[in-house]
Amino acid sequence: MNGHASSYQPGVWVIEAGGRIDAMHAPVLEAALQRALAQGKYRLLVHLGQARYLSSHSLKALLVARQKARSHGGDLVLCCTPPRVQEILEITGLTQILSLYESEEEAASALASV
Amino acid sequence: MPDECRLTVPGRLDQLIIISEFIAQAARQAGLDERTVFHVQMAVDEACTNVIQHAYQGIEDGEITLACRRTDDTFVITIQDHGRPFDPTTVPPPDLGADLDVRRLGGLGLYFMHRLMDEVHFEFNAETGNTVTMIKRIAPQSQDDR
Repeated sequence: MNGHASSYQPGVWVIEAGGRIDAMHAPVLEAALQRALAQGKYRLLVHLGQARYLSSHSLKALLVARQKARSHGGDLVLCCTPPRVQEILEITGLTQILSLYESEEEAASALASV
Repeated sequence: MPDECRLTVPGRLDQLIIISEFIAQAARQAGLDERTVFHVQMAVDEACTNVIQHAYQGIEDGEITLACRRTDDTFVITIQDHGRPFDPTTVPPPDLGADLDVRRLGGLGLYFMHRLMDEVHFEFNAETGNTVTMIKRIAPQSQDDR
């Protein structure tokens, strides 16, 4: 899973989580998040533009990473969430917890002001 | 759809994609709309993940059998395994409140199943093992698609 510095804001790290992220693949997302945190990247932007499916395991990985990022003065936000994935987040009440932005630029700006 | 569709697969995480495709096909044949197909796929994925990671933890040769059938106004899925007995009452609901505590997110999969399906029932029988029955009520527009 790719991680790269944001082209919109310095200090924001972007992780692109694509495809079907079920329990088989959630550890790859979890590792990418934990690797970034271990390197001191606490402003994390997870780009879901190519995500087809997120299981509870992948969402748990996002929530755990978000808590760790926030405990270091940063945050974790999502952007470009496909409608089906967004609906799942709404049904399960996770939109109350995770911040969602329509574009990467918007999300990066929000993170930059944390 | 035929009276009942069945699939038996090894209880391994690499089978989740096969299970997901089977459920999607059965749900479409039963006339469910794409949004509902996605909900059912997700609930089944969570249920089977629980089987693989908990009921079959440390067991290499377990199998999962899925069966789907349509009634007049429901789509019914049963998932059967022969792993450790599962008692859902021992799993506390996840804490998704404002003061989110990630140490209390263990029951997230179970919570998703209940939110996405209209009914979820668990049963353990010494002979037949664990059976999860999940029911999705079918909206009128889905029935028109048959």
